[in-house]
Amino acid sequence: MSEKTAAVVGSGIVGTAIAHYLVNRGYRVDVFEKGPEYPYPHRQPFTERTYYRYVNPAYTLPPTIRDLEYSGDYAKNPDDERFMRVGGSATRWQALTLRMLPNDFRTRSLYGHGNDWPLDYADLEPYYCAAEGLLGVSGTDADNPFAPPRSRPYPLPQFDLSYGDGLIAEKLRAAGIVLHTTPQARTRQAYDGRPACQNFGMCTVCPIGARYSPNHHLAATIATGRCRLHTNTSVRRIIVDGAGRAKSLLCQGNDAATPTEHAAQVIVVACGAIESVRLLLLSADGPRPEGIGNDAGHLGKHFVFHHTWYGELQYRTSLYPARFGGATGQSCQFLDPPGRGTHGGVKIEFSATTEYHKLREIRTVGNRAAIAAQLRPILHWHPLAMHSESAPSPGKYVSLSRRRDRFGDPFPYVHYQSAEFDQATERYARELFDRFATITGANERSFPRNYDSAAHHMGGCRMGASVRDSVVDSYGRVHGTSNLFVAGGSTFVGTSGAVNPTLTMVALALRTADFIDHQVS
Amino acid sequence: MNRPAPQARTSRRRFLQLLGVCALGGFFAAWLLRSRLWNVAAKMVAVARQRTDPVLAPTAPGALSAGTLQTLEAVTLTLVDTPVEMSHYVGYFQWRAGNIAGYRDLYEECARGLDEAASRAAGLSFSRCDRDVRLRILGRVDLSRSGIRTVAMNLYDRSWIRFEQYVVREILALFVRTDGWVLLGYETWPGTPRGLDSYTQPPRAHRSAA
Repeated sequence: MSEKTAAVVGSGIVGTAIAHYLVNRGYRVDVFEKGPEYPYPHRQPFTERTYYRYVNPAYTLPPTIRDLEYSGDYAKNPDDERFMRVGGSATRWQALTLRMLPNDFRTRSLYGHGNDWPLDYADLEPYYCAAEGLLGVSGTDADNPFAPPRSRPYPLPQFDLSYGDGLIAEKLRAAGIVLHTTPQARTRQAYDGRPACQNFGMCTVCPIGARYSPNHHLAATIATGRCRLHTNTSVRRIIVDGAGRAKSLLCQGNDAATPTEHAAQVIVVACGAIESVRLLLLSADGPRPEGIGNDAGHLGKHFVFHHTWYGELQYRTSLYPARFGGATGQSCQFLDPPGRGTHGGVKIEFSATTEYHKLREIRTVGNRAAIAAQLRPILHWHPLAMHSESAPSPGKYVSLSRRRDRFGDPFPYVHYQSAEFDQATERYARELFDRFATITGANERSFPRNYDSAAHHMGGCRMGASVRDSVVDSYGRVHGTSNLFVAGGSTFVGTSGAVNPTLTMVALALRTADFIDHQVS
Repeated sequence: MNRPAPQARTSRRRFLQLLGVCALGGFFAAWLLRSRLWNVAAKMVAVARQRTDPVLAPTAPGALSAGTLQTLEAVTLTLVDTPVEMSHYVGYFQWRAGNIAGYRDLYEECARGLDEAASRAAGLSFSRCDRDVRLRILGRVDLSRSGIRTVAMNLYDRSWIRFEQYVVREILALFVRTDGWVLLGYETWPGTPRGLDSYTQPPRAHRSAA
């Protein structure tokens, strides 16, 4: 019997989860990563960033290899939100791992916005459990009456509320609002070869691996000898035969003169929402002139961000922020509010993490008392983020730019224009923000003018029941092909409600890998 | 019969002249935007900015002399006026000098300048002067200087602007992220392993107040 082989494009949290799963079931897997190596545990990047305030250019790709063109009303460059290197964007993330609500899968039927997913919460629930096990999620639902049902407890106990979050929670409770602990892929206790969190605090780059990084499982997968990682290698095309079978990948080292072809029995594209769309578009051929999976013109459409407003509140009492690096207090009470459909749901993030915290500049030097006076306001400010659902609309899409990379391939083009639904969501988020500020007795408040995507890029290769309405099926298999899969946020039908998308991405990835193992091979 | 007021006739003419100038200006601006001249103008702006930015010369990284390190330590203590974990700052200076082009020469040059000033003021090196002398020498540090004044000063006293930007501001930025928290009563600062027992309470120094 011949060996089962798979090729995975992208070494991020999704590509790694699939490679890890398949290798453990006897596959030989090649993982292709456009970006450079990234040391794990991330001690070196952590030290450079925290101790030497240095952003090492060795961890980024040159603009001849990665870039994108963008337009619309999103104020930031979406390219800055992608970390293209070994481990992908989950080498630096907040690691908040919430599940979508059952209703988030049926927004069209229930509320009239977005579209229904071709699977429901019950289909995904076992994979949510598996994903929580893989990432080592610490959490509890005991204090969160809005959490969806679960068949297994969290693998690790929760991180308690910080002192400041505790004070806020008391005030909110009196007004009937629940501020609860937050499930997160951060080890409350040692787990699966990772040490317990020591609260270094600069958690987006964890020096010890307590905060989950895909590099943990990628290293273990490579150590089996059945997985090869190809770094600094761009996948330029997927070659599909006339019968719809993906034969191989056309790959090229970022500095190489010529491409090479890599054949595999199964091909999985897991390189982020934007690059996944780009690769399928670039792979257009005779029978598929508009790109693979694009027979009905859905490729690149239905692309969405979460819309997040990072506000701040100031209190007379000191809340002592930045004493814990992760997020502790959140509220899921407004994920599925009355009025949903005219606007989106909102998740409230009330955590005073180190990373969100606004540091003050010193203007006067040489006087201890004056310096302390300049710094002291830090103790009284508390961030309040409104993390909101969005919905696909015609003004949000990914296509190809006229600008090209060093191989002559077009870069991606992102157009993102928020719609009336988003403006209604912003009004709702502002109302909630003001309500929270009033209930908790804030003296001052600041709500930002612009929304932030929270680096949550979703859609573009959305899943659906048929080629008429989507690019892939619920397992991520590209319509019209037998062995080509897309995995990750790009297959989302809309946003993941108002919760962080990563746990859902990993759960879907494990479902895809399970399907490949049982059905395809 | 009253003749029309001359002022009104002039105003109309001036209005038309203004309209003509605006139209010409708009046409020229549109043409400039579409033409290569735009690139030339952008390059000129870039060159001007480069000339007025206190960028570091890309000289080779390398080890710092002991004297320079002592001067930088003295600068740190004078600026922040509070006990700090000095090894952290020393590590910062050494790492940047050893890894980033321009920093070694910048630190050595700044130390020389401060030592010369100290020698003129007190006949000693900067690190051996008493605090008042050091404060007098650093009295020129102005972190609220306007952008235009900084640009102007950069033309005739670039080394001081570099000192402010790459030494003073970086020391303070490091302080704010580390010992600044200790100054506010925290036991330690983010970036050190702090354990999971104490973050649910105020820092020890503040517990009675809370």
